Amino acid sequence: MRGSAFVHQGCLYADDDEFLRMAVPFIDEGLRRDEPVLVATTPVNLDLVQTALGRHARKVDYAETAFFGRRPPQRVAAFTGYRHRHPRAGRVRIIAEPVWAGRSARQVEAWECMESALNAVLAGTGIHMICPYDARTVEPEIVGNALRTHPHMVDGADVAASPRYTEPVSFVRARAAPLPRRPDDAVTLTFGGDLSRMRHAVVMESAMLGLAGERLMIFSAAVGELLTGAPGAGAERPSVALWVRPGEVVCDIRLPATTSLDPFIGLHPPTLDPRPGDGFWLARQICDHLDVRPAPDGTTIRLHTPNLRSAETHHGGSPLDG
Amino acid sequence: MSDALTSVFGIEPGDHAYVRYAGEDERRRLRAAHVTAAAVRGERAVFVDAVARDGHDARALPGGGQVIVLTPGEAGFAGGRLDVPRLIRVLDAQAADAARLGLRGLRMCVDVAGVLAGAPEAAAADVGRPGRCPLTVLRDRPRPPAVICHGDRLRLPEAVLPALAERHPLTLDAATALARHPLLCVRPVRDPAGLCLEGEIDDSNIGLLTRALETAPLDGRDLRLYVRGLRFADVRAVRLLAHAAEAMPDGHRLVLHAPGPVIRAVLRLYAWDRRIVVEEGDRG
Repeated sequence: MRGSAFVHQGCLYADDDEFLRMAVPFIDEGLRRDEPVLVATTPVNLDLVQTALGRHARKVDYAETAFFGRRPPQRVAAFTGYRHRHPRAGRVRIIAEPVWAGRSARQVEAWECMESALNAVLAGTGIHMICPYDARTVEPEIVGNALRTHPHMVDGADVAASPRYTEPVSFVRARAAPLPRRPDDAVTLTFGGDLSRMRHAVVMESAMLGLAGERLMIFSAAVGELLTGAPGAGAERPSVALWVRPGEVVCDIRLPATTSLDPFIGLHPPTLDPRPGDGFWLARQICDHLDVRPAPDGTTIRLHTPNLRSAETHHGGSPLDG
Repeated sequence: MSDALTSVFGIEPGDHAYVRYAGEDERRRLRAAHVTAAAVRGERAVFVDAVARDGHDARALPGGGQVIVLTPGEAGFAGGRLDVPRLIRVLDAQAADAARLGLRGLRMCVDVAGVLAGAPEAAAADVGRPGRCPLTVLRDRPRPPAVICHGDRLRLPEAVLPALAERHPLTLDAATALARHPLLCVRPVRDPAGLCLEGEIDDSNIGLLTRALETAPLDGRDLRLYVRGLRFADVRAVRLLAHAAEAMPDGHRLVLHAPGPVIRAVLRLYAWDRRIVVEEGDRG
């Protein structure tokens, strides 16, 4: 299943025809080569594609893009999940239109960093992906960054190298602004080496801040993975700080300076073969947001997860629904 | 759950225990263990303490979530004495509110020193006389909570300490109640054959799981692991289970009985759930 290159292309389109001039040939070629094809886009574009494909439309998989991975790490998991469903295919094709409308500045940045990180974390997966950007509605800054996060741009069936493409590590590191200072009333726990005791302390403090049930247990497990799963951690004692913000619990994990973290840690799709730091995948998947900030005196990982003040946690489904 | 009734984790609904501790560090550790036990069991932890609204506890979600902290007055203790009907009304309301969050019961922890703080001397003297803890009445409720009275040896009058132990059906010292050794208990079971895992698995004891899997008895072609009592397993441990499932010959299965939320989440989020069969029921 693995081994072939990951092809990641952007496409700016300004009207329905331009969208279809990209999408239809891409899909047709996939069908001709007997490659699985997934179209994850807006409901309007799904209609357009299905109509344009006619009787071939039923050979394609579809997803309303807003629900195909609500947050960046879940989007990565959705891509790899689709790839894993077709283990015998040499390649799979995905049209993956990101959703930008209504996102906060922090969310936009996280999605742009994910777009860049895909070039590293999906390498060798045999996925051929085109990410359409609707120039009618997407902010110019986001369009500009699409040129930096996609090595190639597609116009109709024509492909050209993107001259502004930026290597992922540089792109992500350049956008790592300092984190807001933690509040003075944050609870700090120092890891003294007893994992079980630390887990219980994290469970209690997180519960006091409004986490409950499965989310509480899984969040505490994720914090434990960050404490112990970082390569190089161990000689010095890491610490955890927790505080509450409206609707969410925020947690800093402070790792010693000896820790070395890949900027995409926790975004690499896990396998049964252990990989340093792959416990971070759990934290990425369950938290609303995760920042990694290396510094000379240590690395800070900041997690945000909704608490009981977030109405979404009351919807009755799994607390981890993506 | 089958932790021994010498540990915080072994205290179940209907049990009534007195735990002696000394100082703030043990108090916090007891609280952390009770919240963990409550979360694992799907219960709400109700702490009754005079310092409920000060400092650390002031951050508790006002309406209550997994945890709620009540002052003795709010819980029905006035002047060191208990208004039983009022406490029952409070607990019924707490149980109903917790149920809205999907929590199935209550674990009530009462700090005796907190209840007696500021109470008249007569109330403290009552506690020092022979008799039964007034919270014993909760055992007769249709769905009794787990009730744990905590006594700080450093804050309680020395004269009441022996009587407090006598007024409770079970007395534990914090050091015993918090002991987690062995952290993981593995034992073979029969009918159907398999392994029962209880406790917690992390980096510190994963070797025990490795060895247990190598020598686990099979139920025909199935390797059955009964994990209802496994409170925690880290990603490395769950990967080990997935590896074991992967290594089994065609037609053989690794069956996990009643895994908790952490194991389920790791199996699903790491896409290892296709290799393992999960069954809801325990061994009955």
